[in-house]
Amino acid sequence: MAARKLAYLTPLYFDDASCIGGGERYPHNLAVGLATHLEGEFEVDLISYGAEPLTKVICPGVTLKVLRAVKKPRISLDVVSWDVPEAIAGADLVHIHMAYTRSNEVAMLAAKLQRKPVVVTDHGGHSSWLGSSLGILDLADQITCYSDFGRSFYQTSTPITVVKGGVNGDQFTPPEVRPERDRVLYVGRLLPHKGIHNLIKALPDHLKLTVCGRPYHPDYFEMLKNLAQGKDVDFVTDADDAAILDLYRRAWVNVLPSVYRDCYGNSHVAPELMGFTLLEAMACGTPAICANTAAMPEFVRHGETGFVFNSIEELHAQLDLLASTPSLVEAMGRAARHAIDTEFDLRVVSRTMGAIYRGLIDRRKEAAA
Amino acid sequence: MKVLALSNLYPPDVIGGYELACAQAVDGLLGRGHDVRVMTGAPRRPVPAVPHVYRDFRLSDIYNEYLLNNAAPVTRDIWQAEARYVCAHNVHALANMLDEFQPDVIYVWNVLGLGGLGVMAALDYLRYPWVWQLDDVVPLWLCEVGQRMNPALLRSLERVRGEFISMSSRLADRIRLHGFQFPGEVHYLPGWIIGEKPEPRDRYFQPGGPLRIINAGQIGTHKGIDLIIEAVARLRDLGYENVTADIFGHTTESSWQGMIHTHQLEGKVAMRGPLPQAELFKILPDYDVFAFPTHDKEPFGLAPLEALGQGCVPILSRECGVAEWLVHGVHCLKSEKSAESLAESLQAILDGEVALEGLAKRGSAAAWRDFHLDPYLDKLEPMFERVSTQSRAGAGELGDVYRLALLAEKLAHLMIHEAHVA
Repeated sequence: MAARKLAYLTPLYFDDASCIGGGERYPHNLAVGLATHLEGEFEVDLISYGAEPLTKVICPGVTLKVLRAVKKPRISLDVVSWDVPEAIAGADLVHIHMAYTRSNEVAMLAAKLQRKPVVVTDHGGHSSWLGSSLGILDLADQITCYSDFGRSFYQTSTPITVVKGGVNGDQFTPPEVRPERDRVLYVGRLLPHKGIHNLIKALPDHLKLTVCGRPYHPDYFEMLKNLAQGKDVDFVTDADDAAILDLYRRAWVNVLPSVYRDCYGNSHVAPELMGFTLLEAMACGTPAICANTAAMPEFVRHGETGFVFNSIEELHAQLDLLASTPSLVEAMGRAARHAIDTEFDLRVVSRTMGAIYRGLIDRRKEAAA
Repeated sequence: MKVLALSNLYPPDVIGGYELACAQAVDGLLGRGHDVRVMTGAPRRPVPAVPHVYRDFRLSDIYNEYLLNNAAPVTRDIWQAEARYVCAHNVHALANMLDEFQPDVIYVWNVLGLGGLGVMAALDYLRYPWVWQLDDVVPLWLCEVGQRMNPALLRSLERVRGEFISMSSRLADRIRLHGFQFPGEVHYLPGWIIGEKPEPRDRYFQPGGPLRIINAGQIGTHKGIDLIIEAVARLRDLGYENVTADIFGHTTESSWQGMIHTHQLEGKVAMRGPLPQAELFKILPDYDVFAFPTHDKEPFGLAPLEALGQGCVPILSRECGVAEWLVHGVHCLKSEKSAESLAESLQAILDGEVALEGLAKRGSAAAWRDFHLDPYLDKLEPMFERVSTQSRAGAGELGDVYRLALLAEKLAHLMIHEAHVA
């Protein structure tokens, strides 16, 4: 049987040439997971945009296709290309990643005019409300989101399914021989809504913290460096996947302290729709700590796979406890990995998503027959 | 059958032959007992209401050059987008009509000015079967962005499935040449004449007698009006004083009169102004030759066929649509698009080398037999029957198609605004 062809449309793609963020990593991972774990049933074209066209095989069954953008947009999520209709023409199904962008309003139009089944997933990037004002989510056949928190934002008649997780448990694994755990870790983009300043404030003086991520906000980065003075904090801004994996493995705990209101007073309605780096650390057998914010508590079981905190003081105490109780760290790490294997791993997510895609494609074929 | 015809304009609001032909075909179908409705643009001037004509579309009047030339660039671009790509209002009106009328087939004419791409996309989305009458390069017009063909729009239009009628293979080839691959069968059916066959004319040109030339229609160099004037001058210079030419049509340019004066052809060539079609038919038997040295992009050329029906023999430029359908030396004469070639054809008539009477009689008989509306309708009806049986499985929802049209229209507006602001 010929592979079913999926077109994933994403304004930006997970690469240094575009953007390194959870919203870009998710479709990348999911594409790889589907191609890897479902025995060739699906092939995925990961379609995105750039100044020049590019085609690159990411792995067998997954091809990145960068379409030539019409022009550089004012907002990167609003990029469009004349080549979208042609790029999706051969697809059995279109999955739109990033619901509220100009880029994907065009994608929705192209997909519907070609009568493709359409799945939509929001990753929190909002640049255009045109489609929302016209209720275009009602045109989708299925919405998937990866948290109950994310689901709460949708107002549409389209069916919504929550498929939690999506971390690559083959890529992020516990080490065969665990190096000495010696630090608290933060992994993610260095942005104000990530609340990294609270983590530095909460850090006990005797503990080491590594802050790992690309600085996308120069003022905030400067502020973090000032806050870190006098504490044992190092910043790693150019880590590759191997370096990040090593950091996850040698940390006592990985912390994601995201906030609804950042240090500049700006509000963030959905600071974390999942919290990908929490799951990556858990997959490596490392406990996770998250703020009691947005979707993150859905993935961290307080007292079992890590902790959820409500204040800087609570975070301070949790960090102290873990650093001083190695057996607790190891127990929580094992529980965390178990949660990944049974609930949040790409294998599990790929099977669920595959079933959704299969159903939609088959129904469309029956309707057209 | 229930037939819904779509046309940007409809008589009495007309620009040219395209919408006149639409009305003739619609009247012909009504006359054969079909239930026909027409959806067209709101008229540019008040017109009387006609029960089967629904003027519910909004026409983006890109035909009004004064307006276009005096509008702000951004406004002009939005008008063009609404004319060519999508007008949500028109998709809404169409969806409502389809829902209420439930036609068996859609008979598409010129949809430039209505957001034609959106109209065709809506028909495709709703899986209504259609036949598109092409009397010009409308698919190309719809896919122009800034006066250039946009390949992505061409490909999008190629995804809508239906059947086409082209008035000539030349027209279809020209559309293909610009990159549009017809997504369905193309039928070649010529233009037609209507009415009753006239009594045989009582006078034909005889060598030595006056040779009276006529041309009627658009006035311009692309139609070869200058070549007619020059040809008469050449013949006069060769000593043929018995040649006159009357040219009917609207023009505001004084250059034609200047050209006649320069060649000292006053009394031989006259610009007669526009004449209603019925009046023109009455005077055609007074002329011997219909000179039609038009451009090679002429999709068809109905006026010389109408003249032929009246026994007035066309001299056609070889490279035009109608020339595909008429045989040189049997129904007409063909020449190159040059004053010299046209003059040579006329000289052959003047010298008696070509018997005009035989051409006129054979041509007229062929015109009423083969190029009448009736044989066209005879071919159209089975085409409609066939396409109306196509499955509509997988048809989208009416509400969805309007929502998509709104999305497309607003996206176009925003992007046009942003391009101008940048």
